[in-house]
Amino acid sequence: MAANEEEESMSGNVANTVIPGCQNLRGYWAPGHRIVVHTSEGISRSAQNSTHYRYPVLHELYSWICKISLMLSAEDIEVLSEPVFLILRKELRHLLTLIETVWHLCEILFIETLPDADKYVKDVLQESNPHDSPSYWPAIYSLVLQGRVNDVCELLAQHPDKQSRDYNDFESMDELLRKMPTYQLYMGQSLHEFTMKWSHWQQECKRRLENKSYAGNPHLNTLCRILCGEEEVFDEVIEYCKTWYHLLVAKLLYCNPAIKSFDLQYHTQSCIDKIEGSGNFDRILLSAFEFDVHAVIKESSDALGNWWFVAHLTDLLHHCGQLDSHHVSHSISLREYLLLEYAASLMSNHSLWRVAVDYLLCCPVNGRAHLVEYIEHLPLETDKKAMKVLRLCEVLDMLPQAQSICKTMSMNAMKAGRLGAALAWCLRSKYCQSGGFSNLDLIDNLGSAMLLSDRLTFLGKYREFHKMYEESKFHEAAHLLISLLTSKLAPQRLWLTLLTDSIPLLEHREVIFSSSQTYELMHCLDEIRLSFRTQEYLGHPSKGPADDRSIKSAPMGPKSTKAQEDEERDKIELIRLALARNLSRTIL
Amino acid sequence: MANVGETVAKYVGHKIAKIRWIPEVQGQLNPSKTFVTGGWDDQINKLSVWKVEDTSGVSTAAHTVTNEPKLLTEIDFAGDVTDIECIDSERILVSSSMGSLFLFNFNANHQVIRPQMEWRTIHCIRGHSCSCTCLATNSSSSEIVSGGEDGQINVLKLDHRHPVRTIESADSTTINDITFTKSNEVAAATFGGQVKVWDLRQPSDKPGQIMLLSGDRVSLLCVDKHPTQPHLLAAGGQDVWEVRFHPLSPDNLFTCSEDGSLWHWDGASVALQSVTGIPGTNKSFLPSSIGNGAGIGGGYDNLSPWLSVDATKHKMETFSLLPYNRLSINSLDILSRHLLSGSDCEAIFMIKDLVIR
Repeated sequence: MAANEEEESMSGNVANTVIPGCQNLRGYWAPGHRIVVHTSEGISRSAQNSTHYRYPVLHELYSWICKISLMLSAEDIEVLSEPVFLILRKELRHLLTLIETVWHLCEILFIETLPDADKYVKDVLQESNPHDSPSYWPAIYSLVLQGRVNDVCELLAQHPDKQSRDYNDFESMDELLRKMPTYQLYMGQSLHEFTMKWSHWQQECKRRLENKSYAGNPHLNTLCRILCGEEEVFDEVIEYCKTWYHLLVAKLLYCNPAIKSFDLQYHTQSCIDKIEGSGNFDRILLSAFEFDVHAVIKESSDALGNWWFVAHLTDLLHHCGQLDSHHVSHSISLREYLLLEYAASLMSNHSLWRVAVDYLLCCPVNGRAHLVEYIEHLPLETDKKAMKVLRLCEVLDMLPQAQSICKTMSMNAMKAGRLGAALAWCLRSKYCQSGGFSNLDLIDNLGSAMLLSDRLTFLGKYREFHKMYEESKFHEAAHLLISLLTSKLAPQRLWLTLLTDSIPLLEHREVIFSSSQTYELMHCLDEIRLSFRTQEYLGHPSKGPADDRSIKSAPMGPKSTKAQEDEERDKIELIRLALARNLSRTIL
Repeated sequence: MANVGETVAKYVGHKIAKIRWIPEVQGQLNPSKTFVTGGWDDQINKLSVWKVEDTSGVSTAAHTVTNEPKLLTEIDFAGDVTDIECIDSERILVSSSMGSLFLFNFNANHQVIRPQMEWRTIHCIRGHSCSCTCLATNSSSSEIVSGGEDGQINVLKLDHRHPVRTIESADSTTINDITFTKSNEVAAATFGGQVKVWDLRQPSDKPGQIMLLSGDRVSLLCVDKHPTQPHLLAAGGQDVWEVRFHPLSPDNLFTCSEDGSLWHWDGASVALQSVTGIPGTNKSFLPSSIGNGAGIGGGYDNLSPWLSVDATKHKMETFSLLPYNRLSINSLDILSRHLLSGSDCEAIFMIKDLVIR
């Protein structure tokens, strides 16, 4: 259901495209890299012609082989441009879609690379008299071994003997082939029903063989022996099977079409013995036939030297529930381990970092931690790239990283002497608005180093004030605040901030500031308002004497808006009120 | 989903930074069959020319992929491609993140593209090259302008090997996009969130006009001028990478952005209802006047849906043209009824037969 629905919903606005480098891979390409459903003309064609998977267990067998044969493509893909990975993402939501996708993909790969049969057929069809071609019978044998009976019938029809009107051995063979039962997986046919039909049909084949129906034509005779599933005949036609798994498929099709998938392993060895095979690829296939998932994954990672296949296969199996929780270490599952490895290989490519991010996000345990590390080390060559990475951080709610990008860009701009750009990046980070101290550890432990500069002294003392306040040492705090203001240690542009800090002390239920201290505060406030020319002070906080340094402390940016000015004005009014109330309390 | 005929996706294998139709004949607005794309974020990037296959009359065979653009030629490009403008069907201007500007010659007969001229490192900060982020051409004069991360604007001429003029500190932040509003007037959108307008006839380097979006400080990434009313500008900020008026039906606006959305803003519906309405979104905004500031508010302006700002009434119809897309769309171009867009998911999307009112 999922697959169909997906396809239908996408067909309207999704285009058909060829994945570069893979001529036999065609897919519906979904915008973005969310879902790709691989279907194409090519698939439906091969699905019609191929009868393999109409047989119950062969169906499953093929699905296994096909899954494995993905490795063929994995090898291709190493040669291919890497971005094919984009397309084969594992984010497919529905299990069905997932299976279908890989299934189709493998099916094309596997069926279309079937050896020789199609080559023979091509040779035959190029001849004006097809039956004279030396490839004529090899083509028929190959097709029959692959179970492509319809194709066989069509080829046989080319033979002049078949075209004669009388009922003859060709006609009889044609009839047999057409009557060959197919397993109607989707029609609700029971396995038992199919087995019955199959044995009836094979009985008839055997009867005709015994009646010497095909005695006049040795080729047709061999053909009939294949249909009967005679063990010996497969040795005679073994040359038409390139690999042991082709032989296996052919043998199972005619000897044992209803085999249980778990019995497969008993048949594989004999086929392997007949056709040599001991490469990595064969070992992977064998492991698959033995239903040893972990062996498949292990062999594949050894053999392929590329994380793409194993990472996706493991992920697929994980989603199918086929993978029991296998842990490589005490915390990371095999799936996560492989995904992390694969993401790392993507990150090593200059332009694939964005894809790697999506893989990392699929790693539940360590994905985010790795992502943080990677993002902090991404090269930011241009503003544009910086903005893209920044945006990603914001979307992923990685605020420290977003801040660090802004800081980096700001520092770069500052070093290049572009203060405007530096300021813009600072403002972009939006973090200067919070009034917290940064680098507290350092400030708290300034010690005598505090005396190195007036500004540093102020910073240290101001922090001391906040610490006292936190520890409810209100009187000491008030005293310190007054001394900061009266000693002129505090830069004038920060007076308003300091006065604002005094409000909670002024409003405290016990009187903290004495009347003389209150007068001092009022004096400072007046100084801001009168002698410093409020308008300029409020309007352009960054145009102060220390232009570059004020970048960090400027709370509102180079030009404060009307609203901000109003806010400041309100603040002054508030302070005046608090001061007046405090004064009246001290006098009383 | 409305108004869309067919979406063709072409997987190209590298991230696309810019995409532009190559006009058939200079100045003509007829549909074109060729376009040029530039890549970014790879060590060696590509400048590629594509042709849209004409499929009319040809039955689509089972094995041929329908309507896919075909690669005509491509050439390696040092640095990221940052902007592309086609002067005519042969001359293509390309700016690079290495601070240079190139003139390429595309020969349609031989299907080759080759560099013809280079203005090397016209954007730099303290001797180090920095990205040339944008360029603009002027159909009525041979002038070209370029902007960069150094905040400079260069005025170039095709027959001069060096910039004929440099506006040095045009902006203290990066200039993200630039466009000619009149034959002698350019508007630049900056990282600092301003749109600045210069009259190139004036000797002064000070901009004639500065516009700032009120409220949030949003860095501006792109700007486009209304094709028929030069006092109208559209600018995109925050995450909108490109904004484009339809050249023939300027009541239609197109935007693409970092979150992967490609939108068609159909102002025609507003114009028809003669109801005011512009979306009150931070994604795109239109300062109601630039240029001489006069002539705004006259009767004829009411014809433009973009001027009747009424944030409370969201009457503007928008269509998402690529609803399933997740990765950034970096560039778009529209000519006739066919829209091109290039994306970070390493694909070109061509949306054909848009219904444009």
